[in-house]
Amino acid sequence: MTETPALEIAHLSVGYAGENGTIPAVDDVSFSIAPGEFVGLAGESGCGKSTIAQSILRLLRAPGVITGGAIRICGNDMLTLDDDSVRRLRWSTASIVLQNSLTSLNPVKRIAWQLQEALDRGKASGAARRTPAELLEMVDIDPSRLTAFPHELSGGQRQRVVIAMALALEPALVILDEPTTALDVIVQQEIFVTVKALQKRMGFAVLLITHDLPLLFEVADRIAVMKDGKLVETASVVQFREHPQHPYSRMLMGATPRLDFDHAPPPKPASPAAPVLETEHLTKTYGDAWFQGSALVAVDDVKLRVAPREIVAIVGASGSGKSTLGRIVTGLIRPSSGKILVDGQPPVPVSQRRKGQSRAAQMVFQDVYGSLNPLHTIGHHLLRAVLCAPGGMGKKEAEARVAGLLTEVGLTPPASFLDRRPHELSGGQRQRVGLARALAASPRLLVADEPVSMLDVSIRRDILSLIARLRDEQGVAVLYITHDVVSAGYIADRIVVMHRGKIVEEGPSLAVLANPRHDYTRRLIAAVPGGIVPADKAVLQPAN
Amino acid sequence: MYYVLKRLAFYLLAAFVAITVNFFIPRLTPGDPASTIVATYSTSMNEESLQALKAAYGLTDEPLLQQYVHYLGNILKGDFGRSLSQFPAPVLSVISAGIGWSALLGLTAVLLSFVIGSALGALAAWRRGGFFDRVAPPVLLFLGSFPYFFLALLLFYLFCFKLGWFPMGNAYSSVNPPPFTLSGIGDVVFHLLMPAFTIVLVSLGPWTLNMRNAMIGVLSEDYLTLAEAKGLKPHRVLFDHAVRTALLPNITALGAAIGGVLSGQLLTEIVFTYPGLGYALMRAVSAVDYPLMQALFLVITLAVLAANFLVDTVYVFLDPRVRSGREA
Amino acid sequence: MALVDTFGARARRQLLGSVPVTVGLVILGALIAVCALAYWIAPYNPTRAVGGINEPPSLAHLFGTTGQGQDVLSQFLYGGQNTLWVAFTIAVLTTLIALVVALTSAYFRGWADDTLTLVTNVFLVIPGLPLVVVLAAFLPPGSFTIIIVLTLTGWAFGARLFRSQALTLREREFIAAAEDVGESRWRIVAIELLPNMGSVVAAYFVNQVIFAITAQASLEFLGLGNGGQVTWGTMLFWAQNTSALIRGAWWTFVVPGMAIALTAFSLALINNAVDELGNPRLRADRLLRRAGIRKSSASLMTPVKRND
Repeated sequence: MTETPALEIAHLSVGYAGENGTIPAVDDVSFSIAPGEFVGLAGESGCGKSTIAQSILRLLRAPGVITGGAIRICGNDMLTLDDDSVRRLRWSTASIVLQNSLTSLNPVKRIAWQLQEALDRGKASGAARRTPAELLEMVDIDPSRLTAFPHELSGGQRQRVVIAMALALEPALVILDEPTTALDVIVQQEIFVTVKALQKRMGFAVLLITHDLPLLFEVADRIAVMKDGKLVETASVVQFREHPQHPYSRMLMGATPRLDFDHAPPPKPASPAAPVLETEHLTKTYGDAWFQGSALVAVDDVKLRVAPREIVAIVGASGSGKSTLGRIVTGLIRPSSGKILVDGQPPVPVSQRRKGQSRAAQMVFQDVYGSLNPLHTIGHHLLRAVLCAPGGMGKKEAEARVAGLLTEVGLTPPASFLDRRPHELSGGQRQRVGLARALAASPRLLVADEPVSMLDVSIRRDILSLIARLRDEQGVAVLYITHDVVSAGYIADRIVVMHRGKIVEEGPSLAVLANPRHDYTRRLIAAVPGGIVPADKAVLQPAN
Repeated sequence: MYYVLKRLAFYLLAAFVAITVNFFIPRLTPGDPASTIVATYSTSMNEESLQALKAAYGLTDEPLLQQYVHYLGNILKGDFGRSLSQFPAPVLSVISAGIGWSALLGLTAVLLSFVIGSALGALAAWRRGGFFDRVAPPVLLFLGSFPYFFLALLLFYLFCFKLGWFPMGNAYSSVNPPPFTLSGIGDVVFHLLMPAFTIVLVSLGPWTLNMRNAMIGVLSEDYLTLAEAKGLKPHRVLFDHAVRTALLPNITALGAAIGGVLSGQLLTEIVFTYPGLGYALMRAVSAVDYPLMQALFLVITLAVLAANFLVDTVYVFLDPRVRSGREA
Repeated sequence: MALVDTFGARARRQLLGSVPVTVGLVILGALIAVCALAYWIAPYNPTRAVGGINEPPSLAHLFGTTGQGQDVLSQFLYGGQNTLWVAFTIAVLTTLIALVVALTSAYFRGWADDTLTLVTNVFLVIPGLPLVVVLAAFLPPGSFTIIIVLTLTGWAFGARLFRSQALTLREREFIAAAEDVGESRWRIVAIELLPNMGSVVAAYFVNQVIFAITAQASLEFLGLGNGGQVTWGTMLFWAQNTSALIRGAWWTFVVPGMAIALTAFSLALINNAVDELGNPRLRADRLLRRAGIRKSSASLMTPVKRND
């Protein structure tokens, strides 16, 4: 390539100062991005991709330190220039968009002020003079929002503002560090449509950091894969999809659950046994109408049935009410009105729950780290769960049961896990503990609220398979709450789609996914990166 | 606006509680001090005043509720009773002389220590790990460990008594209050220096440390990363982004601190014989002048509540998140 | 900050290696030790006149004598005992009350929380000293009055502090998980919630000792203590009342005053240092410094330190 690359990273090494010397996080990584190119940097947590993203503009926080190599933006080596020169180059040659848009913006300054601040930097170099209003229009936001404060905008709007701010000085490179991980699929799609359009218009290069391979395939020209601080493969997206070279790349490709529409299981006949979960006109409202103007209806007139041994997925974006529904089922939240029966009984609210009381539904939490007390050992967590379970048992029995539970969820040998604390386990292991804890009371229904969204892609399929296996072996029904349509289709028998508190569609999972009827379901499926239905497959008829 | 109204309601409630507590203390404490007071003064007062005194302390046959209503009515009229040590002067007139001076000293000291403390804290956080950051916190911590009156004693001894650089107390030189001329004001300022300096020294520590900690927290937030990424010059990042948001928790603390600083200020006034409320308090305690003590409690409390309310209102303008109903 | 981190082996090493902590512990230890041994160390009876009036420090009287001829050193030692145990008691009581109020408030929420928070805020906003003066004036003078009065006005800050800590913890999913599993409520509060607040409670307790010492001294200085008792505060009261300042008898007020200041300082030093050690951001800077990289300001510019 004869022209200067927008970004050139040569033998970059970055580490973190530790108690005993520097711990390497990025090891001799080299790649470059041509002007106008869209490159994706993929890998699982801890691989170093974010470290690289932050190091480009030398924004890596203490105790990070760059230990070798060169970073050239349009030919300027950021690592050898003095501080003032680096600051001059920041934003004008390369800018960055961070993951959390709420914390990226100064909470006490208006949007107009923050946009103007970025524009003012261009005054000296005489770059094209824009106004904050023009910037907002560029990202399809009504300029009347200029006087708003960050917390008054929605997550998607905020991220657009940050993108507009990043483009204020028309940089040659825009770094996107997991910009849509916290947003729902539909908003994500809209944002990337905007970004691609702007890229076409303005000609900047993009470095997208993400763990979401399908997203990369949809938007990027080239892909680079990282593992444990090293770059294992770079290729054009087309080439990568056809022939991933490195075994790790192949593993990543295979980790995304595939939906097999050819071998959809025949629709199950309605089970004659009493349903494990039954709700009728279930509603939950927050806030007072007179006090706040309008109350927030989190769950709106929901009618749901779950048969024994059935896996039902509740799919929806954040704010759809799916998590609230899950918590009502397990008794953590009380419904405002309506009927709900779990295994024939209304759920016991937590405030009245007592040790030894029978509980039909147990919860598996999303926050894998936060759902375990950092001070207590795994043994403590499970022992308490077993001792509080109905039936009551002696200490010896309880300990045996704990060992049994650990084995069931695949944490063997059990004895080695009893004395460990949560921070000593990996994310996947912690979630297995969460499952074991939920099973301690031998529930009839497991409510799994986004059990894998915080885990690495390669672990997700294992945990989902584990959940399906537990259903087969333990006979427990599962209410699987997620925003990820594909994983829902992967393990669930039935899918229920929620939007703004209401159920908008339900049916056998593959049927709903292949032939969605409600407009929202269609939008949701269309927004999944890479699509879910291969174009040439036959369409299934949903059973009634 | 709703937030401001909520705060107002709260302060009114607190004022009400203070007033009620004030009513009940002499009636509920063991040893029946009320009768003791009346007995002490029964010989030196005329019948009418004695009756008023009895009424003030609930030794009449009126039912409790009626006494309470009476009391409330008096408060609203501004009648806080009569001073026992300066009988028959109404307590309020004894106090009003001192309020102005205390307010002057208090405002000066609090503002100075807030501004200086916040600036030092920001500096320490910005240059953290540097010499200033290592030396300043322990030194300020040490100064802050001194009880106000003790530091006042030390400074008075050193600078006013031994070295004679500053006047030995009082608010102004001559017997009468100075005229509102340049030299008059200068005289007042000169007398204000040592007491204010004492209060500032002791109270500087918490402001500095709080600001420093708030800054350290803010400096690692994402919007600071982005401010740096925008290539802004360091001092702009510091002032427009870091200091601006880190100052907010300090301002919230201002309201709470007013009460604490006030307590220390009162004692400092005593050491420097500054003619403020502290001095009145000391006289009240040594002469066992209960009405004066109680009135001082009420007046000071109400003043602090008003000041708190003011700070809360100002805060609303500084933090937009509060305006839309969320807690900051 | 988890209890494990606070008291783990690595933390212990760090603590003892820290200069402020060692200095603080040494000063505090020395003060407590000598005061505890007052009975054996003090040369004279602290309340009896054993020397001339306002004698400057000499071999016979290491800290001089008071305006009434008493030995200042002996007063310092016995006074320290009185002052310290009162301060400690106040700290224990306020911490306990604050914990009970805060945990009830944070865990049970609802109307209990609203009421308790309102009460706490009212107590917080009413200025301490005037209320304390009025209360103490109506109650018989002495240590018990001081304990009661300072406890009554001192618990509110802790209650608010613990409540916000507990609320943050309560929102963590492991509390919801414990509830889901069927743990009883008091067990959740005592065994799941409370241990995670260990460092906050410890720091608060130390601060309360500081507050109690200085507030006690202030009350006694005003004359609300028991003049017949010997405490650091009453020593200051008598010094003021016998015009020690004007007579130049600086030792009568410097000794008790510095005793108070040094005790408070050593406690504050320890608290501050522990706090800093636990702060992950400060720790990150320390690690960088150890690797030989000094940053002149907090401006964000990742340092470059090549390995070759």
